Amino acid sequence: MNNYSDINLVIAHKLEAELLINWFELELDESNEFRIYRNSAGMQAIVAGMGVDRAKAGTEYLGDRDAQSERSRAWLNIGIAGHQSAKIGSCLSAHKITHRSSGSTRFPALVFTNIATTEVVTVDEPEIEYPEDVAYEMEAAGFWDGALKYSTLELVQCLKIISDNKEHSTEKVTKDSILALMASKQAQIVDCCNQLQALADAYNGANALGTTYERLLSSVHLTVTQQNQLKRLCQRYAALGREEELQQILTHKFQSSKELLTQMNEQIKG
Amino acid sequence: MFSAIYIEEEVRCEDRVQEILARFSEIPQIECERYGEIFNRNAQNFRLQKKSPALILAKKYGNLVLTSPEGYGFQGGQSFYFSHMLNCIYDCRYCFLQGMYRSANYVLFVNYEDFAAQLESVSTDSDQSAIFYSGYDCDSLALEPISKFCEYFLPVFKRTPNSILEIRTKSTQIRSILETESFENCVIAMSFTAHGASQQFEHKVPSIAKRIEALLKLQQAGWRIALRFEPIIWESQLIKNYQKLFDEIFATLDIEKIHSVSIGEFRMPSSFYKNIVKLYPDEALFARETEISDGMISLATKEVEPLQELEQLLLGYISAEQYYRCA
Repeated sequence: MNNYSDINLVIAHKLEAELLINWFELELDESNEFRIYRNSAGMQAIVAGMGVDRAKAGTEYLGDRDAQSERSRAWLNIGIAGHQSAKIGSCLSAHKITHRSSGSTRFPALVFTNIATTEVVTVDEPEIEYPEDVAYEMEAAGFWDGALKYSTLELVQCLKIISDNKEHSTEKVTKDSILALMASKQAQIVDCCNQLQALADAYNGANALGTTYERLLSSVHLTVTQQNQLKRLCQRYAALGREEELQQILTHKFQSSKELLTQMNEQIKG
Repeated sequence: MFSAIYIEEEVRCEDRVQEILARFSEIPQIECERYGEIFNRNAQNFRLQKKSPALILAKKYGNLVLTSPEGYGFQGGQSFYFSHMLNCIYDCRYCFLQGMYRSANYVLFVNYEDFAAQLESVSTDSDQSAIFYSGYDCDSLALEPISKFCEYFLPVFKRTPNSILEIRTKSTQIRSILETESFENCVIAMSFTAHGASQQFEHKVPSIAKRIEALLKLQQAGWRIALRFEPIIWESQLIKNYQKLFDEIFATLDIEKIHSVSIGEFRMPSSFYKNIVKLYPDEALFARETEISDGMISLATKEVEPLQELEQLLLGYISAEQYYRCA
């Protein structure tokens, strides 16, 4: 299984997280305010707790932990939901998230192929009447608002597995049935993680800077503005297929940051 | 074709909308209040969205017909542009739309009747013949089977003969034009870059041969056609490459019947360019040296007046009256 180095999972319940932790070989990394799991590649999962506020707080907590990272991460909220008409066990991605109490709406970009979609309504109390033909759950709106602070919206997605509907009430939902539902959707969840990681790779790949940048950065003292100029110059050399010239520049001794940047600017014009 | 269709509540019941929704019943259809909720929001990435764009069906308010940017088209009257659509199904790396919009989703404004009313009003108010450009914010023909743009707007211009419509395109979706009887005040302007640039930068665009073939069919059906050689992207064999392109095009078409031919350098507002660089930091085109003049950015070149040389080459094929340089 791919190790999904750039994916953060946000899950409300430990029960929902149980199989994900197992599938993705996640290990407990922190258990202070939230329980956070991580695998050797860098995939992370947080058990944020129930409700929109906990979902937002947990997502932000995880986001803040990685605030210094150069790479952007994809965010996936996975959890069970009720639905007026969808079959038990349906795995649906959210195409619209409405927070019922505030009336605010969000529109996730549809990036997954081969998966049905649904409108998700985030409620503050469990919805057992299912008045609209949508998925009802308690976290997606909080998760979305939190994750958007750290990522572009294409990399923020919600997956809902239907555990109850009009014919199959919440009273019939048990620990075992949740585990069984999650287990039955392993292939779809993994497929979504594959697609999300591919998008994150595309995003991060375009912005990647080689080790040469790091070495040039450490060769002289640069202001933040100069660091950005250096970054862009390194990107330009790479885009133009002239990375070898950066290696040559590395061999020079520069007395100042200005001298380094001037040399790089002059050479790229040549 | 689309990852989803978003529909403004206000237009949901319009016949034009219902027809499109029926055609794509298997795609998620999502209601929204205003298209800006999806199109104009922050934290979007045009490059990622281009992998699976959605269609947004909306109503456009306000000024639907705008004065054209200076130097946009040919001389011959007051010039205006209108955009029934935002964004393009093609993925030309040099396109300024990537830097102008936050979203790569396509917005189709379905209130054609409102556009027509304003077009006719502007036309009536103009002292001289007015020129209306379509294809500034989109490719007007590329989505024709769905938008039915030509099917609706060609008759509008046919009944306002003092106005000229220029449809600027790279598309070969010409069936609905060919099914309409040609009339004088409509020009279909096809854009080209040289072969190498086309292969390198014009993703998902019909081949040069197919575009020439489409122009020939239009010309044979009596339609006025025009050629837009833009954007010119400086390259080492520029003249040789364009000579090959000119040879192909002008050997096929009836040169005397060509309405106009223009050349335009690669340039765009520097703010758009900065946005594009952020999206494509790994793209060689945007790693090249640039020059800024009056807020517009263009590619630097060591050649002296390369555009003049290209113009001289072009004027070996066409008359000076047919030519203009795009500002």
